[in-house]
Amino acid sequence: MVHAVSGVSLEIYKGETLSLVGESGCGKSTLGRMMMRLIEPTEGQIFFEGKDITAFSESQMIQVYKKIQMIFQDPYASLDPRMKVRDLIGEPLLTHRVCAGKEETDQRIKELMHMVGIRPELIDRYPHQFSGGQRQRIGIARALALNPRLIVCDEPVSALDVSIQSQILNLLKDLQQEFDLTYLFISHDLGVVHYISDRVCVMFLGKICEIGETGEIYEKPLHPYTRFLLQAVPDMDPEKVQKREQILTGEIPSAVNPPSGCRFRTRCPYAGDICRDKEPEIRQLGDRKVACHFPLG
Amino acid sequence: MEEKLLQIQDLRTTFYTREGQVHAVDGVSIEIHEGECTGIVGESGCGKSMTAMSVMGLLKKPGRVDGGSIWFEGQDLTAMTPRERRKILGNRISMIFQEPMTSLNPVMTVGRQVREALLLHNRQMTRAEARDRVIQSFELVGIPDAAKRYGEYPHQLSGGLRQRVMIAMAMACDPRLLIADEPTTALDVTIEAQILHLMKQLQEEKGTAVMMITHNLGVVAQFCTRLYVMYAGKVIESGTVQEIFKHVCHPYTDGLMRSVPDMKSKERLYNIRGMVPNMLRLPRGCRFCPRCQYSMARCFREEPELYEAAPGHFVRCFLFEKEEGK
Amino acid sequence: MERFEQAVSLAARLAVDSVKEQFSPEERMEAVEKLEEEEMEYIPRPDTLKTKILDMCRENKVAAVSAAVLVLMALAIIFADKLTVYDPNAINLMERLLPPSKAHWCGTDDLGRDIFTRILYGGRVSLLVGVIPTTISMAIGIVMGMVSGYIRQLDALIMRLADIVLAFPSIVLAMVVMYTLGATTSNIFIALSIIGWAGTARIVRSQTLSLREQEFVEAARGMGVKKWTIMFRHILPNCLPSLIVLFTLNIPDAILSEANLSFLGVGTQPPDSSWGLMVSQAKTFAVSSPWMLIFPSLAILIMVLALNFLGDGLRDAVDPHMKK
Repeated sequence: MVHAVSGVSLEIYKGETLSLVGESGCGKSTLGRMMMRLIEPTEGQIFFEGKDITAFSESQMIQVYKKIQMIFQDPYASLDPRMKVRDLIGEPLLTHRVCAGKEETDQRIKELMHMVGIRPELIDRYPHQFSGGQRQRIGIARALALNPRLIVCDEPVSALDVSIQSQILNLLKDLQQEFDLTYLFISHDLGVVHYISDRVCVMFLGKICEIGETGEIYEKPLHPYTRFLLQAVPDMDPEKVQKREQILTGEIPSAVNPPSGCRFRTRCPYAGDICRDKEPEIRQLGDRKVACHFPLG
Repeated sequence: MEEKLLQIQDLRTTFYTREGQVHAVDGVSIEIHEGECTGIVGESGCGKSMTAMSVMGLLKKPGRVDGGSIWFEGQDLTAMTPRERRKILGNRISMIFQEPMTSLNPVMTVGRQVREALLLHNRQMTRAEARDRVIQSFELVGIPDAAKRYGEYPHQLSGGLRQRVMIAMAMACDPRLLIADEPTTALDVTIEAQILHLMKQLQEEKGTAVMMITHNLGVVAQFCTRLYVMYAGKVIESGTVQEIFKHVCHPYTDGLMRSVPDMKSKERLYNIRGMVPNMLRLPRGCRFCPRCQYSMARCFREEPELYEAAPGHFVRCFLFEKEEGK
Repeated sequence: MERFEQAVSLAARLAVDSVKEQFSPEERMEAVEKLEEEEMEYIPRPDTLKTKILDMCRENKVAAVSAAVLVLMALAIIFADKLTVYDPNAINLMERLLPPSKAHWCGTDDLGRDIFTRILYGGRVSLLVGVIPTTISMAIGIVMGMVSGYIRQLDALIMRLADIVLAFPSIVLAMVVMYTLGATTSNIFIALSIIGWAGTARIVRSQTLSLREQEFVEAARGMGVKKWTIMFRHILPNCLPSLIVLFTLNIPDAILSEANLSFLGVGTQPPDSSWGLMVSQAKTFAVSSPWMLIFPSLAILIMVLALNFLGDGLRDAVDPHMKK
């Protein structure tokens, strides 16, 4: 048994972008999928607009799916290769019977394509006739089709080239402004996270290390892991050479058999005896929440 | 100037596909100096990996090198027989790949795989000697419990450890040139930093030249001294990393640098409009002109050459053409 | 940024040609849009099943020839009455056991019936036996496989059932069915359908298992699409390429099974003919009148081989991973 995510509590406020950051195996994608109940949580509750959706029946969930949508990482795998753009974007419209008649559906599909910057004339093409960036735009159009309140973005730009990545990020920002969207943004790219999010939640091996305002966290990380993560990003300035002591040693421990106490302690240079014996509680430090026995000052 | 270790001259690699010819590498010239780190940067499909594959002679059908020469230590690799070439590959030149899992044999222990690579090029070595050498090299690349890891299978190792094994294998014969094709792209940030640091350290200790193929400008800034930027099969800017990062010239390189979110400001990111051209249907004239915010009428007609914008800094853009002798 | 302005002003000072040709932003947009319009007219090659099959016909000659042979055989069988003047069941003891000649291309059998005619008419049975039970068994197999792969609670039950069917020697199972239900053509269909579905179900199940983990299926679930709709809208169409291949490879199996049953006397009953029955009836005359045995066997051989070549070709065309 693997606890991919264990004992995580967090809130997402209306209209904000909350980012989940962490390395592979930290449970960020699992958490995102649990929010849509694509993966069923074994314990705990998820409240959406004040209602506990973990207790919802299948038919009740279908109403929730109108309001929570997801954008996926791989623009190649997330679109059914045997469907045309028309059917891909039309699927949510059809499923929830939002549009009356074929003409209205077509109208709406073209409107959505225009919104994400794809020429509506291309409505009858297959996904493989588009580039990766265009496919991701189609995925975004599909997510927007039902006017959702919350969009879970699971690494939406990590499979894209740099120049396309910035286009998609700006598109996501513009759409958020226009439609008052809330994003849960899952990413491992700290630069992207800094750019897009209002608040950041850093995760390590299924636990939250730190949550707080983006600017504050990047300026003054309190959890040692956050600091090492930030320092590990290769700087774009060739004169700012990364120093040896800024590099975290060791491997990411296995989630099957996590270390006792604080899960980060095997890699943490500040770890003391208490870190082995006692798991740090998440506690409030100013505007921030940190789970560490020895937060950096 | 230091010795030139690898000199690629006017290399052309073409893929003969059903839809037509794709000039994946179209007249690329690259020089790699002894003991130096050279970065090759570009987005997917720009031909950076195909350049490396051409050097290694690992092109798959329907791809073919059909022009240019590749000089390595005074020999032209393109004129060699496959047999002669194999002697150099893995011995004098070796390569590490993006996804270490796919380049390791899943049913052979990692130690044995590295040992085989070693024995292949050192016929006189005994198995026991080779084993010791492998364990030493595992220790060198920072694999903990090297002797225990020797007998493990690739799937038992984490991504970072696998990449370390690949590096150990690549470095086993002390190559003069290491070609690294996106070696850290599949890895987590903290592991990426470890691997880059390890490569830098090995490179400095052993004086190996590295050809670093990547899309990550940060990796280049941290790791390389010389840089080639490729776009749609051509080198569009080259020079030292210091020079290019300080005085970027080509509008594409500039746009690329400004498209990366830098963790400092939240200012709106710069967008290069449009997308990479279809390699089957390249625009006339400059390949970047439809996306360029400085393009001129001439750019849509003629193709620019590499012009020297500053000493040693070459740019493929008409803005930097100098009218000499006029 | 400054670098460009410097370059532009430098170029202006040197009176370089470029400067004279500088665009205003509007002119630039116009030039770019013109290019984009051109690009719009270019439709990237669709990568659908149809184009793949057409490519295969162009590149794989064996498969293309096999397809042509099959079409010819099918036409000959369908228009049998136009191709021959004989009645397949008319007994003519005056002309029994004649070797091939101009009048009787494949000779005649022990009751003086024209063998060529009987092959054509017998082909109808063989063709039907190839297509109908395969279609039925695959339809059952597809549903069973998809349900088994997608609804995990039913997986064990369905797969054990399939194991039971597969564990039985198929010909014995078919013979049992034929004995209990009686030897008629429609019962052959039933017997062959019962033994055929399990193989398909296994293949569809494994495909479903990998498809259900794909992001596009997850995306559909995240849109609130219902289970059965996902199965038929997303999973089935993506199994289609391999199902077509499977179909062409299953038909020869069915044809051979019918031939086996007829040979053993529990398949097609005289006076109707099928290729298997003709081979069976020829066994006593195999030495004295070999044409009775050779021509029906050849018909089976050609059809089964052609189907197999076509199936291999299709598999290579739609599933490049399986190519050697």
